Amino acid sequence: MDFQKQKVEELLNNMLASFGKGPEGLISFYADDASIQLPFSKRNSAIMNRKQYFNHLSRILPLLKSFKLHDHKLYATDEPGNYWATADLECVVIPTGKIYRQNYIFRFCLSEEMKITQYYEYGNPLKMAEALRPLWKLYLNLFRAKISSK
Amino acid sequence: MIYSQLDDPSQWLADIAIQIGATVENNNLILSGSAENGSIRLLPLEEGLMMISMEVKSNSDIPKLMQFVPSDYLFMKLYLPEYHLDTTVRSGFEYYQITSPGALLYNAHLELKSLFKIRQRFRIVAFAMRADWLKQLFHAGSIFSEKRLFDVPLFRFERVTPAILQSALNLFTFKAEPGSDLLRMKAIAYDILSELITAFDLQKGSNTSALKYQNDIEAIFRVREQLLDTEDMIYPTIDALAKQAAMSPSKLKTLFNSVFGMPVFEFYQQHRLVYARNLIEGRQLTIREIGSKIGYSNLSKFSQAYKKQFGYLPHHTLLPDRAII
Repeated sequence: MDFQKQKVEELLNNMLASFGKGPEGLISFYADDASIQLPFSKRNSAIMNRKQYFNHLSRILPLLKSFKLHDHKLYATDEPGNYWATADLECVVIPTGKIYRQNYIFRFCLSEEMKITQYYEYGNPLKMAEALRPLWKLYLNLFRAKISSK
Repeated sequence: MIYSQLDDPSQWLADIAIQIGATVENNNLILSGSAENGSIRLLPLEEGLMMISMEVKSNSDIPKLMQFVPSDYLFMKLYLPEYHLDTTVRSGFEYYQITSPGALLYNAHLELKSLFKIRQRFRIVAFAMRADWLKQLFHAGSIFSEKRLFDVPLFRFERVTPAILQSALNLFTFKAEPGSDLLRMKAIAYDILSELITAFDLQKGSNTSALKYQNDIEAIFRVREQLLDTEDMIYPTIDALAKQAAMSPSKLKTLFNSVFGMPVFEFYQQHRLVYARNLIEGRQLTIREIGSKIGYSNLSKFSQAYKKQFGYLPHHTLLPDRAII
């Protein structure tokens, strides 16, 4: 699958824009059998399926506000359908009150239907650890969110 | 400083190259004018954080290069399998020997001295993190804002997973050119950094708590000194060591592991085997006598432990390709 770069740019643009709008819109960019991995995050470093990733997003995204993913760049590779991308994130972590800035690196594969089949996300773990500290507040809020969703 | 916000890392490389008589090609510092002699690649990940991958032979340029390492940096260095080298860490009057693959966390107050084996190349992947950057990024209460991280000698050695060592080795197959290859390298770098942070448990900050109490540190160093005593190589019990250090056995074990990155007995075992190797290289005693001197009455058990430590048997120590320069 060799998509026009402009089409993939558009997809990436729409996908990144949906990060700040909640998990429902975002998950629609992923294929049903997609595998997702966030290797830099110790807690989520294992491979997730679409449903697990949706649950992960449902827990994490409500804890962030003023979500801005900007200045993204797309890089095609020699392998058709495989892409790398970068984007800068700036948001506020509500439980800790800290600003989280990260220069993310994404790697993804697209199916013929232009759905993401494989997705990897990389970032500086030091920045993430600091923005999420103190962790107990974050975990407490994750726990509360889980209870309230039941 | 290695480079500042206003400096261009490429320019920094070019300046260093002039100072030590090296050249720069594709963001690589080529030592002694030939890539065959080794190269050092810098990959700035972001302001104040960079990855350094080195592939060099025994080279006199390395000590020269160390003059340019600034005092306000914290380093995480990965010693890779097949390519690692014996390194002595000097902290004040103390010495620490690294002889196996793993990761070393240290600051610029430490003096590292490596022993190169003839014709052997070595590969090291390191991360350099500027103190100013860390202090700016991390707020009060964070372990990275700890003044002591940069004011007193710091070193800890940890074993890391084989997967991370392999990832680090893979870095040497990429070209540091703009595009997806560079992103791939950055992604691997963040992956490794993430694992190293876990290995050193920096997120919890529990391991650096040992650095808070100077008295405890001094006591731990005294215990270490006793273990390093080659006159009387009898392994003392933990209880006896704890009594001398005026702390509980469990506290002694925790602190020792925190500061030196390994359990007390493992440390003692490594030390006495390194001492045995020195004796073998000294050629004054037989292997049986040396085994007996370090506490092994059984030659076979000594050989077994020696091979586990160094990867070869005691009587293979003096083979030509193991000569140390």
